[in-house]
Amino acid sequence: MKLLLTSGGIRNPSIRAALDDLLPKPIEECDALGITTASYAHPMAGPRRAWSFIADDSMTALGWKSLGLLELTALPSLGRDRWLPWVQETDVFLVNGGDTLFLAHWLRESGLAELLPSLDAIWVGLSAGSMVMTPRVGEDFKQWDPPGGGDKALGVVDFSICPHLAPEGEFGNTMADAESWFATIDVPAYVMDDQTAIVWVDGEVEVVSEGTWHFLNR
Amino acid sequence: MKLLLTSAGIKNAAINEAMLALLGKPIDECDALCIPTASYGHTSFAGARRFVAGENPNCPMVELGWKSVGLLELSALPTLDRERWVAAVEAADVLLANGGDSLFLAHHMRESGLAELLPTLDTVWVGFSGGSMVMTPRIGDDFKVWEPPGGGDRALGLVDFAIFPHLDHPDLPENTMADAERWAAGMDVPCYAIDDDTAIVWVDGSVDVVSGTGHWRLLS
Repeated sequence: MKLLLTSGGIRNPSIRAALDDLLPKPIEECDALGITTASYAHPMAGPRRAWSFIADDSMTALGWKSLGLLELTALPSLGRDRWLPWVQETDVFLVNGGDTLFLAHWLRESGLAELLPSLDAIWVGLSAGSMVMTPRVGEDFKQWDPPGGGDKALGVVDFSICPHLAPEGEFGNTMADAESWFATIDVPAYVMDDQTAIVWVDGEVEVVSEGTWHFLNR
Repeated sequence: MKLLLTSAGIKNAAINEAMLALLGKPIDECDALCIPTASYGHTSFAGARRFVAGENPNCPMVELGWKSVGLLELSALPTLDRERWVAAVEAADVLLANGGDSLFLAHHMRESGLAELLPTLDTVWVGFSGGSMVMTPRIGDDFKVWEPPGGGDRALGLVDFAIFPHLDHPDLPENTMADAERWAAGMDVPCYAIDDDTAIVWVDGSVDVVSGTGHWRLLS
């Protein structure tokens, strides 16, 4: 499993080039599965955003050889034997934003979280689809309350992410917002705008950006 | 709740006209929610995506030019805030239900609470194949793929007849009229066998079959 953790999707040529480098073959030869589960639980996402991610989005409209819709909430009732081959054969997961903890919950419940490290696939996240790989999201990014509470995501990587960095007055999170959020968590963090992405391969991190980002260490 | 039960979506002018009569306003003034859930029961992940994206020329539904389209995923509803999803469903003019596994769809309609809510809604349900059969009392063993907890072939039973879709479809050699008659012989309710150019309009218990150039038969 290799990760391309974006804030706003495949927004510029540098992020696109990073995706092409991670993929084992050209995009038009790659099978993709889209996951929009996170979007259901976020008040600013909801049914219309879920639809537009699948119908027309910078990640799903790149010209994949095939594109399926993998619905995590449907998997437990489907039976593992029936969905497992699809997941094992896919080249890439395209994971929409929304509520990180809802997505983490369903990745665990479905059994996909446990399976991910063994898969030879690329995980391309957008916003919460990226944050789900971090150890925790912090209270500021908590909307849906998971059974048992807390703010723990999957912890595949050892840093947290504050996405959608934006200047004061624009849609997104200001640097001041990010710093006060950082004070509430106990891990290093990347703060990044929508022109930035993090490439993670076997614990090695590389930041790809045509915009602004900061690494907050501790 | 009014039902337009199609075999393959809005395939011809007659079915389109019937839908407009049910909606009571033009398509581009209607907010739609599409429900892909049934496809997962047949592990049709690519089919779910095509349906949601409105790339299904063989069964047009999502691509008709709605004012807005949202994705309603029934299997997610039990873990979501009920007030919010109920509000979204109540605000919709039309629910577009993809085909696939009728029993898988029926299961998640019951589990989510949507099945119970449906009769109270002032909404049009447009079903395609499994999305139409889900409204019937039962589907018969021939159409059973996914095994529901507790077994059986019971769907929701909002209508009192069963449906055999895709009659005489060139790609489905097991869907001839003879197959439909055999299937109907094992059923204890009236059965409609309908081809892809036919739809059943159901309003308050009265049934009207709309079939432009298509064919269908009532098998009792």
